[in-house]
Amino acid sequence: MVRADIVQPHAATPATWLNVAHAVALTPRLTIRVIMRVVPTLATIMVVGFSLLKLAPGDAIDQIMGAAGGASADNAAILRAHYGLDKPVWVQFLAYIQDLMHGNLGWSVRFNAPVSHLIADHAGPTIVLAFAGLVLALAVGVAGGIIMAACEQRLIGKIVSTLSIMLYSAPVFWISLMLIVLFSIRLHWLPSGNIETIGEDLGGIEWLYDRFLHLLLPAISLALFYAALYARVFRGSLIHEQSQDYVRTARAKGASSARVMVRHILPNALLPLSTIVGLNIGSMLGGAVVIETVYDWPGLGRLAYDAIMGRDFIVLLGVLLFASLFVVVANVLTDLGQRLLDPRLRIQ
Amino acid sequence: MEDASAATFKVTFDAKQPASLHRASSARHTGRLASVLFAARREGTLIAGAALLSVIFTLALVAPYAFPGDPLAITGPSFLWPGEAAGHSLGTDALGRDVAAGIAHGARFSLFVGMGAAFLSTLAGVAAGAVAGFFGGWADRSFVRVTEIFQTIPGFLLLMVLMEIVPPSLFSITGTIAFVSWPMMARVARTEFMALRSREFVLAARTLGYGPARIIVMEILPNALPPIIAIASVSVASAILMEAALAFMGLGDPNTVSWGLMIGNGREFLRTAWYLSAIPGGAIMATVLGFNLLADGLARYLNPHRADRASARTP
Repeated sequence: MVRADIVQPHAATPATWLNVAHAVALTPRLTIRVIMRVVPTLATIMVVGFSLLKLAPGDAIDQIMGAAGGASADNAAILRAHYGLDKPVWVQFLAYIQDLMHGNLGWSVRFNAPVSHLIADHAGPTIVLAFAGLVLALAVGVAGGIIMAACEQRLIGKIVSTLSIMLYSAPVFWISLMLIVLFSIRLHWLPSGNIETIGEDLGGIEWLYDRFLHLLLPAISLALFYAALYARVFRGSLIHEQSQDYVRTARAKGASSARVMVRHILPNALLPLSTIVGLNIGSMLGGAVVIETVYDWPGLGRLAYDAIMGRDFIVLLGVLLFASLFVVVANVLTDLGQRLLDPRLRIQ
Repeated sequence: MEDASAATFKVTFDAKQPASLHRASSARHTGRLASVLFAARREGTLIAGAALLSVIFTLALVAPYAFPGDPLAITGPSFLWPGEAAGHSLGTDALGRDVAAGIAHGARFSLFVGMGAAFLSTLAGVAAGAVAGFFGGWADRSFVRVTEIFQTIPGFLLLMVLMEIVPPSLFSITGTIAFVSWPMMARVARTEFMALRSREFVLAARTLGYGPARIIVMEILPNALPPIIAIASVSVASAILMEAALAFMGLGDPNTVSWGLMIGNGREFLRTAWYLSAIPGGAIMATVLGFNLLADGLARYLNPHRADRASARTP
């Protein structure tokens, strides 16, 4: 007789294509559920965000007037009327919703450009940075977690685990600065900021290499904290899985330690990790904001920072909405990925 | 209610029963204290964390006596490297302000913000999580909706937006960080309360006619405390990190000494005087590390399944 809890819960790989087919078959229903969940969330964020930013003191006109060295109240009033900032808040709000329905996020006074264009221009660098950071963090985190779980009592395990909790405790912006001191200022290996070498007209491979060099430090800075977090989580789930009955069954069958680890423990231990990764996408974007200001990386974080400094709240609201949408999409993808990983999740 | 009635009605008064239903009291408590001390001897992380934190706390306490006067006052020549001149053990910054004084006074600020924010967010988070987890139904559904919104907005972005609205001060920074971070604690509390509400001791308390408030506070809360305490220590750490990042970006209070602000000010001189950024960053890391180690140690010590885990380590 086979006891359910002794049989490994993870489906074996041959069925993977079946899993994909199954997940695809579920997609329409899932899509509807996701939309039902996402739309109210984003709508609330929009309403709350709009009201909050109207509460903030000052506006972009003040800032422009200040930068221009002062101007008459009449001029300010004319400008406000031009941008519709003189109307009652609820009229502005309705106008904003109407614009949103047309895919229009408003007009930035500070940058003198449509907010949607600004976001489109700045989203690419942030997504590249966040994705590079995520891949790096996962690679280092999984490796670190395995070392910590497998060599718990040995020196190497202790070193990795000390390192991970120290990285986990260090401020991201400080790590960035220290990496700049070491790799840019002392060693001259890597550029200290910006997305490409300014003033050089590079093409093809050279352009790509230049971009890669500029990406390296920001991505490492972003990845280190999450690598430490993932390593700690992965260590925990590895240790949990090691003591499960299916591991004993696999050993009893005569599977080698390596096989037990790679084929049995790892796939199951990845599931809690994927949950943590999904939960942290928003916080990763937040981390990217700080990193972008340190490295002068022309992404959404930099845009949000400039918008705050210029009191251009419509831009800030746009970034907030876009980032939230990004997090929602990422969460849905995480859900789908987990369904592929674990057949149990497909049972409703 | 339906969960409770589904549970078997069986109340056993053995030693593993929750504290509040049998108060065999003071003897037990001293026993617990002794066992905490005993465990602390074994628990390296717990001691390391406590030791690190006691250094930082001492620094914060003695700051007004060791470095009297305004830490923002100019006290010597600018850009003295650490150890270069007596009286400025950690050097001076671009304006000739003493770095060591800044570190000591900054410790007070960081600890206050970190612990204050963690306290507020724990209070709010546990209250919300307890109600949602205990009552379920629409309370839980609206709870999930609200936390989902917080989870969707990148937290630091929200923090930046909020700091634009409130004028930066010690209390506003603390409150804002608490506002951004309570959902984490709330989710933990909700999970605990959901798991515990259908246990026999809760059913027993219901049978005795206790009201929901009394059951939540006197019966379930003491049993839900271990993970809450550990997470509270983590949230002190993350609040300190958030405050530092805000101050670094120039969104904090420019008239208070803060480690993050010191790093931000030193950033311009990274090429020539990197110690100005390195030293306050080291202080932040030490403090955050202390709270993280404490959290790790507490979680391991307070986890009821610890014994199983230790024995089940390798087959």
